[in-house]
Amino acid sequence: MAGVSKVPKDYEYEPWYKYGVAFLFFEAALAIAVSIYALSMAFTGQAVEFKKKVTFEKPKATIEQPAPAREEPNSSTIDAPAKQ
Amino acid sequence: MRNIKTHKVEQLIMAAVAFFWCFLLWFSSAAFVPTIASQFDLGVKGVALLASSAIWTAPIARPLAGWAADKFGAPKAFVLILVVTGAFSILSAHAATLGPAIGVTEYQFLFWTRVVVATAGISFVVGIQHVAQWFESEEMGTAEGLYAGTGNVGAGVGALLLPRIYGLDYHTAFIHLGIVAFIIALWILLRGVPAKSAEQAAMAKKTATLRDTAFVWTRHAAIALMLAYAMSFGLEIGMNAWLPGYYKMGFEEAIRELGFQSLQDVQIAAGSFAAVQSFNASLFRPFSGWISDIWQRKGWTPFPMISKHLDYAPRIHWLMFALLSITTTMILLTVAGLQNNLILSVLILALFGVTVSFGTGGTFAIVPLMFKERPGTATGFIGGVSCAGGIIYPLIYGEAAGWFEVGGIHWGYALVATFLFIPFILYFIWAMHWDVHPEEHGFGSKERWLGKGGQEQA
Repeated sequence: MAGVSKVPKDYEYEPWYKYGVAFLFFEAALAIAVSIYALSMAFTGQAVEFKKKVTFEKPKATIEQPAPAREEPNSSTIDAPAKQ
Repeated sequence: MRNIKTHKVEQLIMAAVAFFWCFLLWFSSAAFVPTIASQFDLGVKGVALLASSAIWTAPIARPLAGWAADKFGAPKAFVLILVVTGAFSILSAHAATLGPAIGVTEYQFLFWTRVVVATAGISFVVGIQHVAQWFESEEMGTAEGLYAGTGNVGAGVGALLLPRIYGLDYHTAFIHLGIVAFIIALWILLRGVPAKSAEQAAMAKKTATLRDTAFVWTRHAAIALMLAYAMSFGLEIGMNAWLPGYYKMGFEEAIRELGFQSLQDVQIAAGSFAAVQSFNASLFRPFSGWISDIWQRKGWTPFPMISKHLDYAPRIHWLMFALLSITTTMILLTVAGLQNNLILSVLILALFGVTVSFGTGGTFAIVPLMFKERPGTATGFIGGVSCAGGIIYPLIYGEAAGWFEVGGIHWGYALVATFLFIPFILYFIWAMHWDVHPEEHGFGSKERWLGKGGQEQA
């Protein structure tokens, strides 16, 4: 793979460069960690935990539990949203 | 030029932070789509419209941003973008009162203010231009990679953190995002310097004309790099929009077998698989710029026909390798899909994300070197027009699904790779075969576009 490079063999990078390279390795490691996290989360079924925070369901701020003491016959009760 | 004592690393950090925040603003609507969809009873089409609206302005506005960066300097362009999008982010949080006040519905006000906020994505070209004005050619790949890769993470960070921090309260999130945008704008206003020397800033300013823009847009090398970026970044944003739906429709049975039974569970699992692509494509991007620097240092030029004698020839060869890798992994995605092998598909998707980052990082390790005198204009064209890929590819995937009786949804990747990417690569090879000034060959001569004076000037 012979080619022509105009970068001198003894080219000395400035001091910032090594920190820059270290940071990009950190970012690559972060990408791998997030991939593993996302995959394991999904394959083990733990991704369901997300649903409590991000959901397509309409936010229901005023759902009231039926009062246990005043239960009348034939009255319709409001079901609380199913817990997952 | 202002006389401020600064260092190029400060300018790099400034550009990366500004771009990171702009990216966060760009995709902050997407992070709250579930809440907005439920609040305004949006159907699937409404959700798709809201999601796609984030990309609408990019192909047109990015070239303008590139021109503005050359003409007025990147710091001023950054400040303008941050102030305008920050202000509209705050306005969008008050849609309930401001919408009816001007005679539109709350959702209409929210939608259109968010379209304006999404223009924050045009800041990419401003930062590329800024970094190019400060760093040496030997370290350009790493510097541009650090800038763009760190900034791109804003999308993933927003998707992961915003719903956790703010829950369903997107109004407060939009206000806070806008306020921080103002603070970053103030920082840039005080400390931003357009270039390392007044001469360099003046050169970029001098070439920010309509003639120069037409000249760049008609160069074979610029078109080839634009197509390369459409194969990488255009593909990345198109896949961001497409993949969750693809995994849900293409692997629904396999996902259910994993234990995700309800529709919502399947959606969440599909979204998690899709996120693998997004994170790899953005976080490996700086790595790609660094590899480009290594190819440059080692002088690797393995491919025939592409020039081996340009100063930056090894960087072109690295991008060629990236384009071949992207095309290969696209075909492998189809193969895994046709085998209905979910695990193989997700693993290939992770690899696919890495190859996409090779393409995005590799492209912008070349652009500032090849178009040294017109960095903003070139970046605007290459980084802007290529975003159209993000709109076109999902449409092809969707159409292809109807052409085959079995497994049609999986065929789109191979079709795009074969009928779009391979011709793009052939054009790239041809456009990069000149050993001297490949950036000057194009439709119409240099003299025709720039005139005699312009030719001497450039």
